[in-house]
Amino acid sequence: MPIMKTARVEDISFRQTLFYCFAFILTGSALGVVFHRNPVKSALFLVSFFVGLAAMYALIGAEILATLQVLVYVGAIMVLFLFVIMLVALREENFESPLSNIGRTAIIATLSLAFLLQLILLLQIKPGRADLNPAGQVTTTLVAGKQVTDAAQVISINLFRDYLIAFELISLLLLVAVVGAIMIAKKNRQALE
Amino acid sequence: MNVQDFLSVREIAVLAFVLFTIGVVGVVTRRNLIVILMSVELMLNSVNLLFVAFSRGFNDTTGQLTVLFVMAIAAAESAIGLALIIALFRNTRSVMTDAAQELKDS
Repeated sequence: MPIMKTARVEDISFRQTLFYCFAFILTGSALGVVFHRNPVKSALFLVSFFVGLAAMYALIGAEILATLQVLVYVGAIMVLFLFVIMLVALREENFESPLSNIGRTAIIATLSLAFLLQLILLLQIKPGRADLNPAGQVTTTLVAGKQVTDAAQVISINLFRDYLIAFELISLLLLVAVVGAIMIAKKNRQALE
Repeated sequence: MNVQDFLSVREIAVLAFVLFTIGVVGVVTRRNLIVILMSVELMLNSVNLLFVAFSRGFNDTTGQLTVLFVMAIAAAESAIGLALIIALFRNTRSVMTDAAQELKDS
């Protein structure tokens, strides 16, 4: 079927174009987070970064994680960040470094050397290996012998069957973190008196 | 079907690595603690992207499960970090890293 085939190729190049658009947005907002002087605007760039990352997840076929990314990061973590920015009086930061010239040069040289090395290593990955095949499907088998192929079902079965202990431990960790955060952030009455 | 036309893991790996490097630069250069926490979130998220890419590439959901756990731990980490920032602000009236000098000798 030649018509199907051309449609397929156009679909793939459309996916690639979308990928480069999202990559551009992601890199731009990451740079904005790091290099903007005003922390409020950094936080807004971080929102755009998270939303772009959710779009990227949806593009490469992890729809559940895209949803969770928006819910957890944009819905919960960013609200927390903006709330703390509101509580804390902020002034704009100047970029004058307390380091000496030699220290700064050493840090920049080391970082860029590591960056180049890692980039060269990454470019050794051959294209064509581990391609993101949109038709690729994950499967798992239930105890009853039934095959499950829906990605959401496979992930939830894995989570609640194979990683149940890790899941429970994560919930315990979150509880401890919430209690700890309240204890750390609350006013110390005895120190005041 | 031409294999070369697919989106490869390589592009996503390079993108995730660039984002991670931007996060590292933010942690090293900025002095506002809130922005440093944001850069840590950038790094965590770039690693998440790599996990998802390889999970999709090899058709194995373990990577996506790991991302779920990383998200939960990132939420706990930012809650604790922001509480520490509030405690520091209460003591020193500043959120810059220069303000935390109580343990310094001089």
